Amino acid sequence: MQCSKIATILMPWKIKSLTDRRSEKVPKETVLKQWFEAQTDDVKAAFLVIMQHLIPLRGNGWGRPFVGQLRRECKGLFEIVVSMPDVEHRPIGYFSGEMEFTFLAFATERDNKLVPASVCETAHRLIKDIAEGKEHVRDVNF
Amino acid sequence: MSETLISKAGFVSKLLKSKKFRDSYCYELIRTGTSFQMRSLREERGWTQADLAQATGKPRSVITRLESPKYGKLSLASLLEIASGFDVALMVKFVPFSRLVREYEDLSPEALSAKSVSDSEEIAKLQEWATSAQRIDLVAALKRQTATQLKAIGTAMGSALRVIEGTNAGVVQRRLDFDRPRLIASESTAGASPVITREGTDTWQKIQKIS
Repeated sequence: MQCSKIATILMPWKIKSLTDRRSEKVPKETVLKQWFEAQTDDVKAAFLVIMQHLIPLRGNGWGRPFVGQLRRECKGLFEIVVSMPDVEHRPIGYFSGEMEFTFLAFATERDNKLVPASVCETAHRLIKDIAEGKEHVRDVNF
Repeated sequence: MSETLISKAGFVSKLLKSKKFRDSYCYELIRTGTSFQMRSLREERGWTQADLAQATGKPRSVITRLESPKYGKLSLASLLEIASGFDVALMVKFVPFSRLVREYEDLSPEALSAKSVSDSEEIAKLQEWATSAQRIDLVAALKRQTATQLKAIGTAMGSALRVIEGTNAGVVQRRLDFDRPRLIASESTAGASPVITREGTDTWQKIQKIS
């Protein structure tokens, strides 16, 4: 078996996030960190537990019910399902490489709709900007 | 350069300062963790949700609901039924957070694995445990030794010790290796290692220094 294949099998998922170009920190802070820090402790706990379970998964482990594939105008994007009693949080991102997920934007879900409604449009634009070098990403460790 | 969402130190600080975080983290490990583990155990067995439903005698819709992150009403009865469906045990135990964080440090599929009681590996482990109970008896027996006997054992300090079991016919049944039992006397004295026999049986156990 090739070493690269062994590494893929053994290595956990790599998590990345868009950086906030307005961040004054060096290097720039990620939008994921900013979102996380702004959440209440119960949301933080829920998100951490979900990610701690997702990251070690192999192969096609990233799917429902904790990772949702979005459709229609959101095609190509995926949501992490963070269900709380009062709010359904939906961090949005995409699979930016093999065993790699990049967080781009953050929404909530209400009545089966993402809020803000423009989150997918924003995320698609960010993917394009990342590819063109206009926006940047950083690895995020959990 | 990578960013750390929350460092270990930051996590512990959060645990120590925020009861809400502590309670939520504990709750989520059970709610979310159970959902992940149920799916992992199904995949380990090549089961669909329908297969698990059949094994537990529950409707498939119930299994879907139990694996859903939106469903927060896991009951102990449901968990026991799921465990029974998988033919595994369920542990419910109050633990300090220091043990919780170590227990949940590894959440890989391997760590979440739980073999059925009919699995050959699991049977072998159970059988090994059944015979390894004798080692626990030996340690307990050693603790009951007199100071004189312990001093005799003390000649082995600094070396690995080996316990050899056998019948009175001299056949070695099992070797149990362990390093430096804490009950060994601190003084080092020359002398033969004692023979400890188990009362009421025809087996003996002997401590040997591994050379």
